[in-house]
Amino acid sequence: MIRKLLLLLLVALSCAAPVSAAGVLNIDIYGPGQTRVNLFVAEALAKESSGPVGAIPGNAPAELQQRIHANCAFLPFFNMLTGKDIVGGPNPGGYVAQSIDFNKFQLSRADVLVTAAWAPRPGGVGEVELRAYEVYTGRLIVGKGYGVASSQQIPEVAARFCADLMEALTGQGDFFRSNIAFIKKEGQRKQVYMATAQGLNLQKITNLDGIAVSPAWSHDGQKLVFVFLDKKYHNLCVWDRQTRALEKKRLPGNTLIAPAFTKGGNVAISLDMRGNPDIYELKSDYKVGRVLEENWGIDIGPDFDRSGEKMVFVSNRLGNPHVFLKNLVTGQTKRISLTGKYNTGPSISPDGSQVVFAQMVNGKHKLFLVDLATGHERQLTFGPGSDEDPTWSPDGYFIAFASNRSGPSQIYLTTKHGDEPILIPTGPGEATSPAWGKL
Amino acid sequence: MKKLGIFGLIVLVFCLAMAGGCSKKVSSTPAGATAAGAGDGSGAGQGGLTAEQLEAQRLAELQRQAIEKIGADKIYFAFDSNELTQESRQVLTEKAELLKANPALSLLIEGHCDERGTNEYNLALGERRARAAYEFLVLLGIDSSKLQIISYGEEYPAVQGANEDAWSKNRRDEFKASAN
Repeated sequence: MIRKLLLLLLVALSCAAPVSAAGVLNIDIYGPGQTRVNLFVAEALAKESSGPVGAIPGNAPAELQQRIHANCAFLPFFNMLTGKDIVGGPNPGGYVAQSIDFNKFQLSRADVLVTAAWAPRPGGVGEVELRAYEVYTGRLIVGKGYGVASSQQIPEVAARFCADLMEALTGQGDFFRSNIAFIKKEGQRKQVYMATAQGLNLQKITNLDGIAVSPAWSHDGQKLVFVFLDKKYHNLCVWDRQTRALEKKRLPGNTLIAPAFTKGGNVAISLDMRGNPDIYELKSDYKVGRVLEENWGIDIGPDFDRSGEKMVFVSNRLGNPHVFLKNLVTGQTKRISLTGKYNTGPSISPDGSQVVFAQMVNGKHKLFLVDLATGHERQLTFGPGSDEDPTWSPDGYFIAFASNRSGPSQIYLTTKHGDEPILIPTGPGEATSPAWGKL
Repeated sequence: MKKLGIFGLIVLVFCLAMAGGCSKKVSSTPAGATAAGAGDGSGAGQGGLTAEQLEAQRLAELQRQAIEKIGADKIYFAFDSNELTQESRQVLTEKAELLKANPALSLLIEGHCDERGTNEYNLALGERRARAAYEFLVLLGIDSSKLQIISYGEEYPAVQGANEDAWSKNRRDEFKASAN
């Protein structure tokens, strides 16, 4: 994501030791037992005096502190501490290791401390140095400086810092660098929107007279494909993120279902040209190309791993909808949802090792995860309502999904471990069909 | 006299058609022009309608009624099913007769689902439901070029509600005839 922000990476702070050498906290987000660490985001200080920030316009320092706190609260491996949790008061006393009173943070069981130091900047909001320390050793995990021209840049600064912090701790920071497209209901119409995975930078992509369904990103995150239902036809729509141009195509047959991009950048989609929905790969000119899956029954919902070798899809060839895996190299197809009678909406992890899908349990849909190596299947979500349309994050750790657990459908976030779902705020109106894309 | 004879014949045919044409709504149809033309005994050349115009009007009215009748009756399905019930076949047979009697009509068949399934699978199921009606109508001799199907999945419920009563009304095919 390249933004026209005037963010400047000022300095690789002189005290920034290489993270790899620091031997600091290391959180294995993929392993079986997830570590939880306590994180505290301290109030900002003035760079010059280490005292209260005074000369920074508006509420920027407090906003940045809150935004970093809110961002980190999305990460299930962080337990967020507040000022009340810090014995002896939350003021760190300084913003660099030498002047920070680490003892009281140790006593307060904080594992990671984030400090902010602001300096005024003529013509802008200011310059801020953000640091994250491992409390136990006092070592620096991440240290970054940013020039902030306007307060609108605060969320971007927070996202960049949190991406670096997450990456330093887990090896993955894409959560703060990726977007989720989804469908939002507006009266009788449904439109495509996108936002960051934290629900920021909400953008409306379409303004169509009808129903948009099933958005999916290209593997490079530059194109978004979806189906648009107008008063008479199904249309294929492709939106280009760079040009913001929307192409609309009619395809053979009457019914277009659940498109996805192949690794090569072509669209795979179910068409009913032969009397029932089969999965085809379209050529670059959107003419129908090769058949990816053909059967007497319903075949829909293709999703591909990063290598492009594995395709998951839904078929009712055995009577009920089930999830199948096709190896596109060998052509072999096998059923991978082994329990239940209604399994739909599969999403395969980018590394091709796991598949998440929705299974109907007592009339409601719940997310299930199947490990392809072992065939082991387990339930990920348990709340009230229905959880549908799961989509993997690019790092293969998070799973976003639509749920009506708290009323009208909204987008939620869990992880491959089944962490407690967190709402991604996307404003008023029903939100469904999340599709996680890259930068 | 001859002119009056033709008019009398037209009025007679019209009345028979209306009476035999099944609909109780006939009496409320805007047949005023026809009645006036017959009542004052004026001929077509005296500011009334020509026989052709009257015939066209009659046919248009019949077509309008056929469109209304075709659209009025929906057919319903069991959960996750696209099987036509005996009742659905009867409803479709009536529609086929109306389509045969009105060859200028084409038909859009909409497949719909209840909210319990997932969106994408419901689009496929809606397609199966619309196609089931389409195939039955083709079996009954309707020209497939007159038929089009569209699936709306669960996007346009007929009835709001999260209970079987609402769901059973939403698992349906709707029929929109038009003279294109």
